[in-house]
Amino acid sequence: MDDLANALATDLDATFPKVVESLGTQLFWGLRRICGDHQEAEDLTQETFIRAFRALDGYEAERIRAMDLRPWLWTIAMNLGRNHLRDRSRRPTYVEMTDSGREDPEPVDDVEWDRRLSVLSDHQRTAVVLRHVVGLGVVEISEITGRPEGTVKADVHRGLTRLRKTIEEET
Amino acid sequence: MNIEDQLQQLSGHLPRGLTEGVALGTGLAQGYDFYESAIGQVIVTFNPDGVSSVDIADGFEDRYQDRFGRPLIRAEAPSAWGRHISEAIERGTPGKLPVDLRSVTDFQKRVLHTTATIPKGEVRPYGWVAREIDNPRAVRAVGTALAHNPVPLIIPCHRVVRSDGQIGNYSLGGPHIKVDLLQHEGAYPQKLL
Repeated sequence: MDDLANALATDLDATFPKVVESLGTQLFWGLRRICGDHQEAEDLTQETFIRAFRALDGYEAERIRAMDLRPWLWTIAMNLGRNHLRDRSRRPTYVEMTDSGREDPEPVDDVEWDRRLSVLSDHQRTAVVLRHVVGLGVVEISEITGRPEGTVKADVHRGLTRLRKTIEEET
Repeated sequence: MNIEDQLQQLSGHLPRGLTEGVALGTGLAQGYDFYESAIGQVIVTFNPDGVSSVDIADGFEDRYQDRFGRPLIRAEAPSAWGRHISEAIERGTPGKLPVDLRSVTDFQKRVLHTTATIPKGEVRPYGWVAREIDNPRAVRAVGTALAHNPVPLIIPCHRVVRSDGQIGNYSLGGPHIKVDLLQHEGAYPQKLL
């Protein structure tokens, strides 16, 4: 992570695609599990990176070197919320060059997990996903969501308990 | 498997096209698409700030890399203004279309903005452009600026001709293309001069 921040500080344009490659998958799937919609998560991930790039473009190199990129990106993503699509019409849209059909089908249990996670409150779902799907620590989640660490721990605990109960009720 | 382990496995691959979408949205890559014009098919490149170049297809990628040095991705122009591209090419003026002129100098920008005001069906000499930008002695510099117009057809540098009756050069395929374009627009330079 530090290497990536260092490289970004030295050459933003050349390094930024590596940031997308390195952190994009985790960001996308975390958002996918939180919002429950593939397209919305894709748009939100894209918008997060675009906002991040614009912000980094205005930062001094020292500030970039000191950054912890993963929680910073998540903070941008969470702040974007549901109003993120307003800038969409101002960007070029990638066109698929091959007609091979969709190569990334939704995993078969996606619908099942969408339903299970939808049972949780927004705070619980966000905390559970950030902690156990994305793998962030409680301190980082607290910074990202702006909720106290104790509350985040409680959100995770209650969310997991609710999920266990939901799965038990399925069988 | 406990619930924590199951949650850990709820990830997959990065969706196809997301990396390209970020590159286009940040301007790290330029989008391009094909458009019809009076001289045949042309390639238009764009970014979130506007159209950045117009060129003929033959040898386009090499010329683009030499000049702009950014990756290119086939894309649809932003829906907010993409519909104005064909109209701008047909009318030979940007109109509502945003044009990204960051690749040119301030002097070139003044030349190009003045050139964009020449109506379809009319021509002006290089000296007229020089006078309009309050730099009447800069006739050759105007010619050089127009030779490097990144968005020919949209900013109609073909409507600027020599005052000695010659057609002058044209970056988008040579003088004969310039004549074809002016004739297509109903402007016959030999008569007007």
